[in-house]
Amino acid sequence: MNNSNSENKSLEELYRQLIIHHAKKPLNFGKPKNYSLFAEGINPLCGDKIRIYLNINEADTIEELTFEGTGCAISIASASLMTATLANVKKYQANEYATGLISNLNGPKSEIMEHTIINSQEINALKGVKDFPSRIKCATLGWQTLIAAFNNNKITTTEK
Amino acid sequence: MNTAYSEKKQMVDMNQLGLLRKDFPTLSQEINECPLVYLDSAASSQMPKQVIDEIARYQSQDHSNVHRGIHTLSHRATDVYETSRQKICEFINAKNINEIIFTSGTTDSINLVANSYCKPKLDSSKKILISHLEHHSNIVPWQLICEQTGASLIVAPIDDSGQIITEQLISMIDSNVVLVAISHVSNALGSVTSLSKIIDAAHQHEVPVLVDGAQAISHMEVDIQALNADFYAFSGHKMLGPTGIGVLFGKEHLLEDMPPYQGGGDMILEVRFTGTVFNDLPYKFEAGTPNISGAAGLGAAIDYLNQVGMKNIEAHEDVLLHKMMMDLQEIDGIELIGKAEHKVAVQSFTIKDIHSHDIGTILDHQGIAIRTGHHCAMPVMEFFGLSGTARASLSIYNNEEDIDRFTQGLDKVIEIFA
Repeated sequence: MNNSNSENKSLEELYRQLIIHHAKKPLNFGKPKNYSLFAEGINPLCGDKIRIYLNINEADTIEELTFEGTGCAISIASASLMTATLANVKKYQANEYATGLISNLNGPKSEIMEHTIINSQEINALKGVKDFPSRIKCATLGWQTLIAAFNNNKITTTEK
Repeated sequence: MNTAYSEKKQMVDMNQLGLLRKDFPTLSQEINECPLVYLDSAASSQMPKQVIDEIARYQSQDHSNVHRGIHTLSHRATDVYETSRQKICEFINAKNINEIIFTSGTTDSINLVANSYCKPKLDSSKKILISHLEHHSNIVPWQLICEQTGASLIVAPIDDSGQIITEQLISMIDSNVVLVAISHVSNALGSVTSLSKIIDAAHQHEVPVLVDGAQAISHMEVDIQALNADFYAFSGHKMLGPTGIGVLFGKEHLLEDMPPYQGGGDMILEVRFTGTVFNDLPYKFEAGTPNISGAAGLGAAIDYLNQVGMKNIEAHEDVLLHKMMMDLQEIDGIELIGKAEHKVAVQSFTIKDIHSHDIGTILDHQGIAIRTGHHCAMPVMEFFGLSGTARASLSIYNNEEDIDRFTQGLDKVIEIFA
């Protein structure tokens, strides 16, 4: 009846301490007074909602990146990790990184995520979702919403 | 609750009903290396092998088209289809088979009534009355026809226990209400509606009542004549039958006066370019080749339910529901959502601020299937200030061990989020 060790391992990989920590106490959670870019991402299947707020400076660098919304531990932790990873990064690099991460999380488990400029070990905590196909969209929602904000799309959904 | 629980427990031979699970092939498998505990029957119940076998038998021996051919197979297919209609008629104690329309499911049944019965009667002075407890399938069809006609959709409130406030609903009925449409049992919370009071009150104003019976039909005896509902909708796949088949019961005089919903074959007597003569009930509402194998499976599901006995099923599930509620309440941090006095087969809950999908994933990992999210009842979730709940629902094949495994599984959820 009890789970085998290998199963516990993948469940514990999904809900690594870092993920639980970010889910319970997300970083950069809230809406700034002023922001230059905004988008809302919705997963209509589960009702998760993430709003992203950005301030981009004249050098096209992300000065401020915050989010708010409701969602499961995975979607909140992922958005929180995103805000920590992409602060002070050039907009085009953040866009590149977000696109790469979404593709990586949807790809095979063995695939390595590499980026020449941005290197975050913590992001690897998200890779636990690869064993849980139904949860990949939870992990990518925040990143997809960020890309929508860069493209001036005010609203995006996981189901298109 | 405790007295009732022990009394009922003595009434039902738990082992006898628990053993029925061997009839359900889906249940004898491991999910994530754990024996499956299926607690999502409110979304879709599993089928016993008697139903699966009957569908296979029909497909491999009798399949043809109904009401058409002169040949033997067409006779057999028609016989299977019409025998199933007769079984449904007896199962809900309808007056005759003219009142039993095959549809693709509850949603289809409700859309039929919305478009064929209500829409021609609606204008900006008219109203459709529903409750706050409804499934989206008993909200959106009414919104659509109200938008098209300018009529208003009015919504009766619920209380904190998750029950329709019957008196308030009744006070909203007047002669401008064209139809009252309410669920027999809430899919999100399991609350049972006080139908007889509502139906009596509506009839005093000569307003008919449609009952969404999807969540009631496999959990309690439904005597449609005693209930006196004007329309009653339900689905095969929530009563041990297959998907894609459902029923609309309608009182014959109402169905007689309604125009056809869809046009096509089988619903006509004579077609000329100058005009068409429609077929009699129930065929007037069954355009095109129907889901014959679905009807065969639904007939077999009704045989199965009758064999076990609806009273036994009701008592068995009541014992399990009370055990589930008591066991859940012992877990620190769990809040039960939906505490109506009269409930069947469903318990929604939250655990602290843990999102329901995280609960669902961790349980699934232990072989336990529950539903998470808004349960296609977003207004109910909104009422409780929640984006969703976790929901465990029961059927005939569940047993006490399922509940024990479920509550143990929840310990793991709490451990991970500690």
